[in-house]
Amino acid sequence: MLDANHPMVVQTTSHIWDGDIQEFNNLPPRGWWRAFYATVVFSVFYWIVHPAWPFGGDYYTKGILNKIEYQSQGVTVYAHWNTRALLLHTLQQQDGAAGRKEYLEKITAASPREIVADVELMAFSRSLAKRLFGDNCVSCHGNNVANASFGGAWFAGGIGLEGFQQTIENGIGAGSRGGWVMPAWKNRLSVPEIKALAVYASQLSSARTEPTDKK
Amino acid sequence: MVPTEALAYRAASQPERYNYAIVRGFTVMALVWGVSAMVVGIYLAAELIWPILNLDLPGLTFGRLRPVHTTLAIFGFCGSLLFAASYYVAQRTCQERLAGTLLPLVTFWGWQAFVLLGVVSELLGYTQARKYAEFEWPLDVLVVMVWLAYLWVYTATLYRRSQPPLYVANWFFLACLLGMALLYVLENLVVPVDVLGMKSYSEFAGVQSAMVQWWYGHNVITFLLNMAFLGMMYYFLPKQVGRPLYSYRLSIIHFWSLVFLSVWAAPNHLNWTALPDWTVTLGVTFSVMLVLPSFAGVINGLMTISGAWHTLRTDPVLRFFVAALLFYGWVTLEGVTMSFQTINALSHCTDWTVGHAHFATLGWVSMMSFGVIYHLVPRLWDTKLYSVRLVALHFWVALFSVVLLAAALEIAGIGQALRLRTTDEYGNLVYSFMETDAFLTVPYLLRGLGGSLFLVGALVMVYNLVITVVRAQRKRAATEARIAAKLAVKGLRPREG
Amino acid sequence: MKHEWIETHTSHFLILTLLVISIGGLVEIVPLFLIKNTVETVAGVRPYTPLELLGSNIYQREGCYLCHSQMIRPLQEEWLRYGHYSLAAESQFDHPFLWGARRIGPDLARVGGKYSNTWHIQHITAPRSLVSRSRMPNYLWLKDRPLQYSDIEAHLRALVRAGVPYSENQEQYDKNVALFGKDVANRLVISRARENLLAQVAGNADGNVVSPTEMDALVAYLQILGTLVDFKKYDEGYFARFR
Repeated sequence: MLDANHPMVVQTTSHIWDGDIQEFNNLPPRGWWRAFYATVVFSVFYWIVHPAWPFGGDYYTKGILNKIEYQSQGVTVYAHWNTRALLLHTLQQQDGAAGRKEYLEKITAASPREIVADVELMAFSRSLAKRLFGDNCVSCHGNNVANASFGGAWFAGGIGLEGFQQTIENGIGAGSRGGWVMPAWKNRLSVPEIKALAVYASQLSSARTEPTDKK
Repeated sequence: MVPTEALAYRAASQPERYNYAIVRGFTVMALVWGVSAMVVGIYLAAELIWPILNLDLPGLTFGRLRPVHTTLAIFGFCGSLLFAASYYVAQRTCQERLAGTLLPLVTFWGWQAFVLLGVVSELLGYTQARKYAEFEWPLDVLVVMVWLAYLWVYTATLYRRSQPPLYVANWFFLACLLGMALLYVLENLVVPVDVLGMKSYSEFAGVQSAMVQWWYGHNVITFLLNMAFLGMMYYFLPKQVGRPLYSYRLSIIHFWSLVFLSVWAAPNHLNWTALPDWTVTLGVTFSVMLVLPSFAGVINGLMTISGAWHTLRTDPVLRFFVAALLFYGWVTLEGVTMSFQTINALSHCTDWTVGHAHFATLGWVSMMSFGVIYHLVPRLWDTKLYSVRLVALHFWVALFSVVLLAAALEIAGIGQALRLRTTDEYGNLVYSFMETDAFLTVPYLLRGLGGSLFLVGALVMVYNLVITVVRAQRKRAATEARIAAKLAVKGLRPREG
Repeated sequence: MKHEWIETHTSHFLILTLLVISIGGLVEIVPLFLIKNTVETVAGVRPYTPLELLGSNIYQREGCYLCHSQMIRPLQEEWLRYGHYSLAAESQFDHPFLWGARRIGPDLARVGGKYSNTWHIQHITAPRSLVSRSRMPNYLWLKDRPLQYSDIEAHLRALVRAGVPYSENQEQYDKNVALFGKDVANRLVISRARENLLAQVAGNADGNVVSPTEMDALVAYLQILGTLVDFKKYDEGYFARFR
């Protein structure tokens, strides 16, 4: 019964079950233990640099040598590695974050009319608003007058850029609890997001039937 | 001629040495639930493509039907096959009849009632809203009692053995039995609203409830889908190939490392959630340490065939075992990959996870099951398979459709996930949610096709097995009639059974 | 060989296996109850009102959690799309948690206040009339089915046993006033559950109080999701300090 590929002398354990089931007692293939130890070493390393082990009562190891830097209220914080600090770090310091922040600040400062007038700002504004419109507005207003399912009246236009901005901010009938028609977005979206959406929506309304939703 | 036939007849009419009736019952029910699970799965896949198929009927909506699919697959199919295989293996390796006469029947009818009532209650909307633990508390009480009966029958059978060492397959079944008992009881700690009603509230809330749920959910996979089916591998594979198991030593390493390490990988299901990061770290590292122990099982299985690879050409049943082990290895590697934060950020909440689950359930669990069933049925009915060529056909259809179905889902998941995070040159998101959803159209069709093909394969199996059993019974009846006729000529009567 | 000692004695085997299985769960679950940082200290999160609670039950009954998550992850793309990541504190009164694990539809952790009640009713009844490629079933029956609330007190009492602070007596009521303020505390009084429920239905769009429907409850529940914490009160790094 010996295997030509494994010349090492192996014997069965001399037990027989159900008439013919026997067991050899080969060693695990060479390298198996080494690879297993490697995963253990990797894990130990991982535990050192991440929050890992709870130790009695209220304490758990936080991890060392793996600090994450972020700004909070103008102060630089160095936190132990954790997913929430990592998010702040990404939002604040990844490539392009500074440029994006600058654009957002410009939009916050500008009036909708100024945004429209500034080609560069307008390009950013449109990029910001397009996805927001898709996730937040399309399910009522459609992306053109033909498929506005819930609130088609807005395509009539005539309320001007500021009108759009105010409507998005405050909604329609938002005072009457539960009875509102359009929700107020000022607590859900940031100021630049609302302005960008106002500009986007007004242009959509003047274009009337131009489909913008990439299908 | 007469004496031999008469002897055979007498042997057959004596009470069976082993309790095969119960094994037959569970095997048949595994097939019934398995095919039902596939049908429901295909219907669900179709509902996602054509929502009109929900038919505006509460019981047919995706949300109510999805738990039915998992219940049928996990508890109906895998559960019934676990009972069948463990009862068979325990009897064969201990060379003793199954303990008890009434209790095995209690486990059979109790389990079938549990699955059936579980499905019906899910269709009616009774649910604990936790995956694989949807059953409301009265059903929990039922299933815990059935499980205790199972534990008694199984261990009592093991206690009857005369050979002290316990064959390794039984270790895995025992671990499954104990693990599931522990998990199920803790997961289902609830406060019923009314002792006469179904509704209850989970004892745990929020983050703790999430962790208990995924400790349970992950380890249902560990114990019911991995340990139980590895137990089957350890018995049926050496038996089918007719060679000794590669290594007893490796079985010991495999078993204990798996039992210890698997449990810890549960937090992987809650990566990036409000679960604290320390818990996730433990999940990630333990699943890394789990890779080599899992491979130990794959090695132990495949090396057992080593030296007899040529049998794969003539024995399609063995092919199922080999494919299952390869899928098991693949799923392990993929699972570890998905546990890492960077990858999980992409895969979580998408069809990638669903694809991974189907590589495991169709690739590993079902392929293993099919091999086991093809091995069992001829022995349980004392006959030969009707058609080995149909087995080969089933194998290739199953293999192709698993890969098609699971790969389509993984592509769907990765594609949608990449769209969800796509930003333009300004750092703004490009796609709205529904625009990312548009990516799914083609993969969903392919998934439906893969699932349908998998069902076709299973139906080929069912056909093959039905003919096998029908022929066996006809042959037996004919033999009995002939003996009776010959005995009648000599003025004798067949002995009463 | 030493292993024989284990495998030749079935009882040794059983006990040892059970011990080995238990360790992982013990180490990973028990500390979640002990470590205080697990659930963030934050104002605003309160137990569900009777109507919202029944809404959550309908959400569970219809399996909404299978296609919608309620867990915004601390990732850039989710921050931009869904808003502030979900806190453990926000689901501290969910028995069980409803974080979900698959998004066939979008995340709902902050859906509260995003749409009007009428929008929700139409969307739940006929999703494709609003989102043309939606994969969601039509839940036609919810707006016609009367809400079963006759045993609402039993529901609240069961939750009290699971640790949710609905108040049965003056002492518990006073505690709730201190925790959540008077308005909320009033809505958590078990003996006033029915009148509170009807009062909340009256605030809904259709104003039909005579026969509250399952839709009333479900929409009330959806409208509260993710709205309880005022994130403007906390600096950027505040919640990171709990991890």
